[in-house]
Amino acid sequence: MLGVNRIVQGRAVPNPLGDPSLTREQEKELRRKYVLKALELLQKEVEGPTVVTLEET
Amino acid sequence: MAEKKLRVVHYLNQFFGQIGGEEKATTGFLVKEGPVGPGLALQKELGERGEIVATIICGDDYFAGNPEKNAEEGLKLVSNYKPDLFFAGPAFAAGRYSVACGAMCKAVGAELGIPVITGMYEEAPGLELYRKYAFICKTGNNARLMPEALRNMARLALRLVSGEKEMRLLTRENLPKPEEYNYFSRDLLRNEYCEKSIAERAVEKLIAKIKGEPFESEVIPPKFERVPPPPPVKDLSKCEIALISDGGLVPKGNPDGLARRSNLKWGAYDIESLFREYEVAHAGYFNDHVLERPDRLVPVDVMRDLEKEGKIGKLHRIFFSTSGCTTVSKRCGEMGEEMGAVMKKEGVVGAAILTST
Repeated sequence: MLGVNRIVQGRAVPNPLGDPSLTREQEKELRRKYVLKALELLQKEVEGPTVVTLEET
Repeated sequence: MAEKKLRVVHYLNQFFGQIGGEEKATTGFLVKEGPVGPGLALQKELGERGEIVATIICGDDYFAGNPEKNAEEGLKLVSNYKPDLFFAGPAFAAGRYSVACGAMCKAVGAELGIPVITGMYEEAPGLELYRKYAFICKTGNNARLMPEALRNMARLALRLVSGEKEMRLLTRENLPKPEEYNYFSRDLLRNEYCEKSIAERAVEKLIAKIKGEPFESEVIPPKFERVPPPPPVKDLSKCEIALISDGGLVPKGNPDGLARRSNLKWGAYDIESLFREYEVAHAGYFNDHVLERPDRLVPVDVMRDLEKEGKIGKLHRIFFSTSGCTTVSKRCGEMGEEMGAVMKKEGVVGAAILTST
């Protein structure tokens, strides 16, 4: 994992923070969730490489 | 004709330099002419080939206060003696001392271009930090093993300075095998002539593997270094956040010429203007979704919203971009360090989010 310690699993390789099958509004809402998840992880103390998905709290 | 006697400089801490124990660990740099402490045994190992002309000594606490700056100070003292060879330690398993030995070797090797040799135990903190910059001989974990460690260091040193170039080396470089000279690999590659073709060797090794016999792989997988996690961000509402991506989003025309495959470059771009005219330089994924809406890779729209709402302090004006498609991990690490150095210099970025395809 090349030394990355805080990882949020993205949507898909060609669109890690989006989903072309959604409406523009829905997609932005989804992207917001990913970014908020990343921000949440930035504020969290971690011991080593930590991978979370959107669903995890 | 007798060979010219090599000029040798040796680095020791306050303990081995016979200044004192922990109570003297704050002692700054000092120089003694000739060999000191373990240097006497090292001198014996070098015999007529070399002469320890000076010993540079520094307290462990003093050095550990600022290893890089102190290595520069030590380097000046070493340079005065115009050495052909430089030794440090050995440090065995010691924490501060192994870092000091490694830092001194790195500084001296880079500046003077001479072989730099030290010795450490496999768990010494200085090992991973400096393994690539110095010949670090494998030692046991305590100073009782000093004679053996010094013998090993001297043997490797004399091999490094010998004019002997191995016939089987394609590039004739003077790089002894780590396993033959008992030092930690520096991750350097040597080109070697072999009797058998690669196909023959591969099949032989495969058969050995199937039979459960020992074999030596010629391909060493990269070691992924563990990086200590940075501390969490305390207050996001005051934090300026930078966006980075390895998805190859670049300004139209790709001004820095990022390669679509095996790329080694990165660029820094003003986000606002980038989002007006852009393209993708990355051959490793289907680019259309990102071309249609780059926020799917670099979430500028959401970051702007969060900025307005006061959830984050600020979105950093500059976006750091690279293209990570079959790029060697070593170069990835370097690019990360380079980007980090730019951010540190600007001094405003408190955290970064890297999005990856």
